[in-house]
Amino acid sequence: MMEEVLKRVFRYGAFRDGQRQIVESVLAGHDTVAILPTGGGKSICYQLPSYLQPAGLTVIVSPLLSLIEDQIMQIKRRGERAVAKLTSLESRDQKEEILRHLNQLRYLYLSPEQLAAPQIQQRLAEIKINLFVVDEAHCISQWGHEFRTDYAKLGEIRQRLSNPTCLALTATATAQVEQDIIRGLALTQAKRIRHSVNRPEIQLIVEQTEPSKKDEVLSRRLETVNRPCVIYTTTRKEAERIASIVPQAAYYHAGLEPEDRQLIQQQFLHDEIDCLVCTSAFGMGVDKGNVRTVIHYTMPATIEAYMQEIGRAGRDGQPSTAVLLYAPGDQQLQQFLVDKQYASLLWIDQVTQYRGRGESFEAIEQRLHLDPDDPAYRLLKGQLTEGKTKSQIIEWQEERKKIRLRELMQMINYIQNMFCRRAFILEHFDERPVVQDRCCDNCGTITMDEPVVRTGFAQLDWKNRLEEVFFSSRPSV
Amino acid sequence: MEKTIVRQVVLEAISRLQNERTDRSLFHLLQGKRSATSLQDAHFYGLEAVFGMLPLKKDRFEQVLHELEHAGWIKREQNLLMTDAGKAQLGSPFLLDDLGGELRGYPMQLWKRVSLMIQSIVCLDEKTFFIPVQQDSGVKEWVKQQIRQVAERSVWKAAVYQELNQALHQLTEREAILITYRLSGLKTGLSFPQLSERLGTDLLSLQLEFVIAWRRCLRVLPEDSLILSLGNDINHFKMTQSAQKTWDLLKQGYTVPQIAERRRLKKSTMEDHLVEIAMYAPVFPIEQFVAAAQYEEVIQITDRLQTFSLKRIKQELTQEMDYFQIRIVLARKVVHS
Repeated sequence: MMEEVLKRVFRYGAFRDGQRQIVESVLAGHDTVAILPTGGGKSICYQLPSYLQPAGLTVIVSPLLSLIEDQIMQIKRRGERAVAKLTSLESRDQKEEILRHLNQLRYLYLSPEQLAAPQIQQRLAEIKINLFVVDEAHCISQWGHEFRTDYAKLGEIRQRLSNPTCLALTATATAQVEQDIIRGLALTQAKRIRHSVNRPEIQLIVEQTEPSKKDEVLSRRLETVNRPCVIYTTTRKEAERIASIVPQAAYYHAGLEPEDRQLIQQQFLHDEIDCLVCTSAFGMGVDKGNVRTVIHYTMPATIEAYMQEIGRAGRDGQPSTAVLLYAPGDQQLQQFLVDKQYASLLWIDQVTQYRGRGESFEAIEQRLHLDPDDPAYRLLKGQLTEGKTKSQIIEWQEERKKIRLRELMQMINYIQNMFCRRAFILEHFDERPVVQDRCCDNCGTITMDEPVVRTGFAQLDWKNRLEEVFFSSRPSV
Repeated sequence: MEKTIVRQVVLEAISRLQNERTDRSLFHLLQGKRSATSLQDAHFYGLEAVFGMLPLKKDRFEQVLHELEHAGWIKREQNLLMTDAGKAQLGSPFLLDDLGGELRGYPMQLWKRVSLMIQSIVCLDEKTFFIPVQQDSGVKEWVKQQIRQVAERSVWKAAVYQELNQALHQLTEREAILITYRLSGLKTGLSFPQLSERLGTDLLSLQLEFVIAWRRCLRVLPEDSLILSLGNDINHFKMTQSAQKTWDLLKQGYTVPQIAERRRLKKSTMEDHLVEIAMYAPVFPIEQFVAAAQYEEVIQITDRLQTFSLKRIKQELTQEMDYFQIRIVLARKVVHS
């Protein structure tokens, strides 16, 4: 039965590790926490049950617009039309239209902000919800690397929707985070299905160097790894700079014009370019199977983020490589970024003072020249609106910062650790170490590739190009 | 200093401002701020074509001005001033006249539709997966509707290919490259940063060059072409929507006080609307606002002093006139000249 749907609807021959278990658990009505690695086929787990159940809606809460759009595009591509989304992008009229036809939908994707709206909850409460899916569920935990305040309310909201069966999905979660998910979503007798975070097809390499030698090290490394290759940087500027020194590379970050962003993504997906230099803005929901190498020019802030980003390599199961470049002092940028996410003591002091005198947030923003879109300020505003006091906020922030710095320390420990890197990561996620080929540089079992890198570009020729755009896709750039 | 297109366009704009406007005025003009003052500046100083076509960030704008000043081409006092060295840099015709700002976004709106139509139809016809090159939901919706009306995809494809091919032959090689390499279909277009690297131009200049190229392409396409037909319903009124409403009521025979009352407009807003209407409407009842003798005198003064500066004109006037009346006269004068 399940296999038949998998084949007919999703056109897959067989389940991947863990998928069947999750689907069965959900169909049996168990609240389920599923931890599947990136590229493990999460979406099947919540999209499939719907075809084996009587009418009813599957609600999916997802934190990122791009993820939602990508999922919907994939669903529509397989011919399913009964899917809709409620995000900040829909107009009031569009939302009204969707809410009027809820009972005709199979899937509804929502951002947590939209789900928080009372009128939307009210309409959802009136219909039958088969499954309540929380994607990227680690966002609910203050211990997770991407804590989102709106996720904290999901447990309450689920209860208001008469407690539909809940499936919480994430790629990476320590035992602590798993506990927070269960508590935060108020899951009862949750089934825990955990698939190893290990990605055996990816060999792990850390290369330490001096700050001034990093570009050189990168260039040399690129001569030993295969493409398609993704190079992650921390800042946009750095992405642009690296793209200019690496042959045949293009850059991608959130500062590009929307049209340019689409073009670069599509070029990469279609193998028209084979090296992409990007910030963490790239990747969420990008489904490209044949990425052979992920290089971090600078380290991410947490091991969880690192695993997620290198997880973009080798989704086709073929041998792949992850390289992390490190130079002493790299962590300072990350420390700075952590600090920037929270309001300064001065702000907290001034804003609470003016609030105390009954001033509106708008007036205070003007007076203190605060950017209403600054995440640190928005966080502060949110907490004040919730009625937190100054000292509570400061205490909370200090606690958060400590957690973030501890996470950063773990990342540094990963880099400096002298033993098996895979074992280090597995231990971080409370898993047992494994022994395998192509493991890591510390084990000394890595293999080198001999990539063929094209140099120089073909002459620009508009007549030829016009024809290629319309009629043929001969491989040339 | 290298003469990039951005510097050239900004320098041209400054020269048109005749030493009579501040850096702020220029900034708003380039941004396309739809305020009465900016619309009026664009109109008086022959800068409609650049209106809204160079939406630089504030610091980037400052940087360009600084560069021009540093090169000795302009001076920055209260107003922006052209130097002789700056004037020597000007060529003819002006690049900025090809930017199409007077069409109020029509060329780029049409580009969004055309590029998404081509990508969608080519990819649907070949059954290949694609990421829509335009993410603007209005454009996506429009294209979706439009595709349904295309009876035979391969015919549409061949026709549009022919139209483009013929039009591009009438442009320069470089212009044709800019357009074809931005298009996506079975090949994916290049991003502006990629093109700027390949063509060795700074990013912003390249984007302007693309706008100019696309605008020229639209101009050489036959009027009944498929491509132009995709833009038939794009609104390119120069007036703001609000002024347009006032204009409609005026045409229905309402008086100015009646309209102000009905639309609850302040006197100053009403005046802004009237100036806008005077600038853009084909006919305008100017006699309702200005006496013939007043009209004549303002015209004489501007011709003599070669200025659009309201203050200087007012100083020279022998008759009593307020700024609103002077603005109305100037607005009509430009229409007629």
